[in-house]
Amino acid sequence: MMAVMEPQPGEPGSPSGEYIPRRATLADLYEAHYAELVRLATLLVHDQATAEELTQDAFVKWATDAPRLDEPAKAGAYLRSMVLNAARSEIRRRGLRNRLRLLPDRSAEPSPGGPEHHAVADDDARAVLAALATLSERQREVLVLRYWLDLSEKEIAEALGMAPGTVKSHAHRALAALEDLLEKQR
Amino acid sequence: MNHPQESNTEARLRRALSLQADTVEPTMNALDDITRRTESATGATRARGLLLLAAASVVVIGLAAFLTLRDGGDDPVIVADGGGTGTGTTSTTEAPDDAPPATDERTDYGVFISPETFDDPVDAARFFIEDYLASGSRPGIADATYTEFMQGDNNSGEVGVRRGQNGPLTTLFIRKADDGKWAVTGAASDSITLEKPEVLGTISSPHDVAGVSTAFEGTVNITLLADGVADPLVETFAMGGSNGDFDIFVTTLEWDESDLDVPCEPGAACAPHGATLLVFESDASGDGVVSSISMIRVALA
Repeated sequence: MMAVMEPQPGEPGSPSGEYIPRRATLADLYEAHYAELVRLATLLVHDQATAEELTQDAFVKWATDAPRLDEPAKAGAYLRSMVLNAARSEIRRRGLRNRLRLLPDRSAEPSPGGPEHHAVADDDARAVLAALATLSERQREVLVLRYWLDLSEKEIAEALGMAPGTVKSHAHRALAALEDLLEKQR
Repeated sequence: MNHPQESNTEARLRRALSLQADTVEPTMNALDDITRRTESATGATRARGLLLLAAASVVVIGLAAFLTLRDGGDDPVIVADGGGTGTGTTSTTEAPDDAPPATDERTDYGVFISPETFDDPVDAARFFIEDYLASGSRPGIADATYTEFMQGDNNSGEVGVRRGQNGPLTTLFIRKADDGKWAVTGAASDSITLEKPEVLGTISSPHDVAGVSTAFEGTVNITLLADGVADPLVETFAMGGSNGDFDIFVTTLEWDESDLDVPCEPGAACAPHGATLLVFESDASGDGVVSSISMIRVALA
């Protein structure tokens, strides 16, 4: 699933063999990761406009920090982590806004089950997504990373800043809860 | 991709996520927007006028007052107002009377960031900025300049610190330790106000960190350091406001008990483990240099 840049001369998998990290350019990373990260963020915040905004924020942040993170693999992991964290912050901000009533009410803010969900025509998929939306934020993140991005427990742990064991327990509990919810819908 | 070991639920989930993702068509030419914003960010100056800071302070104080009223005063609020000798209401957590006695000797520097104390309070401030904050992956505040010590009472006071002569102000709170010497207990940035957790509050994983901030590209960095443990328990970031506009930042910290120097056995009664929570903004240079910081002491349950 993850978009991968072609090996360049001097990189692992290249004909020359010798490993010399290549500096990733903004255009390289955009080509390799932008669409996927927008989709990942949309799966989490249920709003493509916000997803694009926070994905672009991540690229801008990477570009301003580029001297320290210019290896393609590291840059990709960094961008994914940035997007996940920003998506989490966005979801929390919505909750706080509603609770504090201090900031402008974004009546257009989508909710799980909103337009992005209805765009999926398949009944079974809609039921699964609706059940997924009822899980905790962390559980949803773990499941999306595991079953959409196909990340390993170790990769998910790195992306979410938690221990692999915690990922495993989140995934186990989330799947059990999802299964239970889907069973009740029958 | 074939996943023969997966259950029916897993297969349905994988399919549903794939179908939903396929409905998303990212905007064309977003690279142009990213490039333009990057050029703008790297070329922009970060100067802010006094009027902007005054307006920001009004927002911060108003939010703090609102939260205090909303919670009926039960929930301590930390206000980075640059005045006074503390960061708001202070509370300590005590074990209930019927709790079993603590079984572990865990590291806890109490209200202080470290056991080091200094004859001169400005030296204590310098230690925090140039040694404690600058260790490991934290570059600290480069070219820091310090104000004179502004004593509050006999045992406490403040030292201001800026990056260079004109950087944003961070106020360090300094207190006398038992040996009569000085050490840092907290820090408040004009641009980052921590609302949660509370000062000296006891927290456990997972725990929310929240506040209001304005920072470069909206990003505030968050680090949780356990006393006596070299590596940070947590290093993460959250998105708040930018360009002088304050907005809420929220994120959840999660850490492993096993990363503490004396992990607490499940079911055992353990003494709190001291920790320092750093929330800071980096400047626009991209080298990770801290430009201002808010810091509180907490206890890990």
